[in-house]
Amino acid sequence: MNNHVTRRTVLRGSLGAVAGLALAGCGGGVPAVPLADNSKVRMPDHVPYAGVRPAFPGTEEGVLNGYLHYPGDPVVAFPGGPPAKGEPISVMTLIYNPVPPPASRNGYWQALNRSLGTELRLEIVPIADYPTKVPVVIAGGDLPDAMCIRPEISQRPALLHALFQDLSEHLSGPAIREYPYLANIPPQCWRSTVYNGGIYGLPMPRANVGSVMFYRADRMRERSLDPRPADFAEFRRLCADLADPRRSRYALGDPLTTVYFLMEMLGGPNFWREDGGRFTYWLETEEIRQALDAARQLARAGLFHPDAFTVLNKFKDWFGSGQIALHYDGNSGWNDFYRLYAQNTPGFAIDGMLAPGFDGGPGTHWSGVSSFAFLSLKKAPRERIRQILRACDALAAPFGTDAYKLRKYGVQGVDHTLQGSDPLLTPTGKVQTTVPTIFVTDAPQSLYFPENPAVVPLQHAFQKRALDVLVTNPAEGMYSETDVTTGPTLLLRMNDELKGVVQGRVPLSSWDATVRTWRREGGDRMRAEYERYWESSRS
Amino acid sequence: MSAAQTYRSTAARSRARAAVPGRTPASPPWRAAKGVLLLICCLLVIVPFLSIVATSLADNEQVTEAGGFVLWPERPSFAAYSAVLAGGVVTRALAVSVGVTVAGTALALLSSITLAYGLSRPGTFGHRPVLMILLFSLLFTPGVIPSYLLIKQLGLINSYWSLILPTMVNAFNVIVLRAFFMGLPRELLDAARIDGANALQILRRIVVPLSRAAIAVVGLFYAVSFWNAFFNAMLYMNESESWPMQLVLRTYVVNNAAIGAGEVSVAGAALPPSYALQAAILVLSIVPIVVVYPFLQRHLRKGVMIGAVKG
Repeated sequence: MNNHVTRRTVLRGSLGAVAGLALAGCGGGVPAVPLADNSKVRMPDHVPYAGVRPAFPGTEEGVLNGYLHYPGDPVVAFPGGPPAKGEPISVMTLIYNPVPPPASRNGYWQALNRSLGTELRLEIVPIADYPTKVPVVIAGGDLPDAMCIRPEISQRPALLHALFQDLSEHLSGPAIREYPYLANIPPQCWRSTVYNGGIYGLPMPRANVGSVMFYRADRMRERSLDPRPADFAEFRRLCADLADPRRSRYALGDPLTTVYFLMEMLGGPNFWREDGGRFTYWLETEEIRQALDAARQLARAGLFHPDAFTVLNKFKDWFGSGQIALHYDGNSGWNDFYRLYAQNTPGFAIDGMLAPGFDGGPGTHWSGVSSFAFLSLKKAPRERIRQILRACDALAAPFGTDAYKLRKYGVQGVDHTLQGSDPLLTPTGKVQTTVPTIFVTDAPQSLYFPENPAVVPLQHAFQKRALDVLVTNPAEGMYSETDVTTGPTLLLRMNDELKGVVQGRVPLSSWDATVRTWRREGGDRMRAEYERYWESSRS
Repeated sequence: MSAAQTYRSTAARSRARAAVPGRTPASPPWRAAKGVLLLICCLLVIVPFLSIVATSLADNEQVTEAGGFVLWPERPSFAAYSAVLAGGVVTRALAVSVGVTVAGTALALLSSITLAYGLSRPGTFGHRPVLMILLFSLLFTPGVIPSYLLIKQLGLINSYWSLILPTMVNAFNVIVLRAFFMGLPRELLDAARIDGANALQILRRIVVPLSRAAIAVVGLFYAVSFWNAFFNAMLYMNESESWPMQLVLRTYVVNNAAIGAGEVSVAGAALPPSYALQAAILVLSIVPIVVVYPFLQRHLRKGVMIGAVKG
């Protein structure tokens, strides 16, 4: 390899940097291909996997399949042998967990590579650093074969058009049937992969049900309380009954997600509301004023943890340790709460509370994002793309297959032991299996908790109830350059204001001025961009 | 010196201090108050440190009960350390960090000392322009993308050199050394030259031995910065096998904070590591510096006093 620095390479590098900066700097969000083309995209066929019968069947609307036990004789996912034989595949993706041992010293990773028939070279980046690293790698022009594209990446349409492969010919309509496990991914997950009139990635499916207002069922039972309040007044009473400040026990932790829950009671929009093509943000609705007023009442009554307004990222621990009894969090935390806290708390039990109507009757429930991010493939010859898609198909093998068992639980005897037919991770398995394949692509999630199968019916019942009153976010899968670049800063400021109002530091009367500032500094531009995108998807 | 002699000499010093003209001995309550104040200051430093160590040794139950802040582990356990060291990721990263720190500090000192010496001698070839370039780099740091492009063009992506070369010459440290070298008596250097010593010999035999304190301080600055660096590794090292300690620790401690409230439902990742694990990580990350520091303390104290009492 010639690594000499010449005037030409320096010039080329400088031009690359300038191009990268220019790409990052030009605003307006003008897509590379007219928006209207997105409506012409034929989405992949959905062919649900039917190889394993769930104990609690899911629904088309998004309730997940529930399983009490893993099949004793898993279905062989690839009877013809490893599906992706060929050159190694490099993938840049992120990780939330501590980094796993590298492939050379990770038996699980090696087994995974053997099952794929190729070497999966993951360039793992801590989540906190991912937004920094992506532009640098793109400007450097040294792209991996595939890359996790997160919502915070700006100039996405132009970027995808310039550097990544349009996968429509491989995935659109019936073409996806060549990859049966990718075809098992629900249709709503694919919405966020459509740009420039093509399919530019593979989803990372997540549960439609989004978040859950978890409650400590053991504490409810202890105090003989009904965890199903009929309206806000009953909810407030329930919170008061759960609080015992003398013993450092409170009802609520995070003020922000408590406002989300109150918005669900009020039937407020899930961040955006679309009405005849007109978009409204949740913070400019009438419901938010009522939710803020209700949250202030809860705060005045001392139902929040005393540190609720001053700390971040402690809420899970407060909930696990019993300092708070209610906690709004992602549904994927359900099993993890048991894993982390049940061993120290005899009788530890949690369940999900659905928001009642504010004044009685049914409330609503906000859906989560259908796909965490998507995996885009660098432009490459057709056969290379097919090889990578076959590897991703294997990484999307669903529950009940041998490929899923290997991906989630590793090698039997090393990474997991069997309890009946259920795999339980060993200490080695807990370290080795954190290889972030879930941030490459994945099967649709399923409800399964081998350590405590009794939890599964509760999860399934909650999902069924939640899906009946689900409110989706109409902006999901749409792209707004302003939301990507300015949105996070604006949201942070709005959240601070919102917490100030709940805490009583900021008068509720100042909310109108806050919203005006939001509109002026980017809110209106976001709205216009979403409305334009929405319009294009209808034409 | 015996204990009795030590006591007598201390007492004599105290009397001498009290006998300084115009200075009245402090009254016992005042001395007690000062003692209490100093004790509080010490506790403010020591308690958080001890708490981190205690939390790393406490079991999950106690950490949960204490809300993440343990002062004394009731049932000491090394489970957190076992968990952190399992899989060999942290031990490997520790070896990488030690290697990068030792090699980086040695190379950084070598380049900084030679550069500073050259710049401290008026009339050296290119003296002015080099000094200007150095000062320029102090005022204007290169951007992330240009730096990445340069490292890439040099073929240093995934190379340990990418963790050393970009930060090998720190303009501030060079200027500190240059200032110290300029303060050395010129007659000494002239005498050496008359005796036939060349520039390198003067540097090795006279300048460096006379500048041990300053070099120790600058060396410590370099060592700490190499030890704590994670950003370059994040940019330039694609394979986690080559990550230094601080980047690995980041995945334990900082990732959790990256999950915003709006993202509660999307990650699909496990809950963050326990407090005990995070505390164990912090302890492991500071141990090497704590071990090295006492050996450098003597030089460091001298070094930071350089020029303090000059008229």
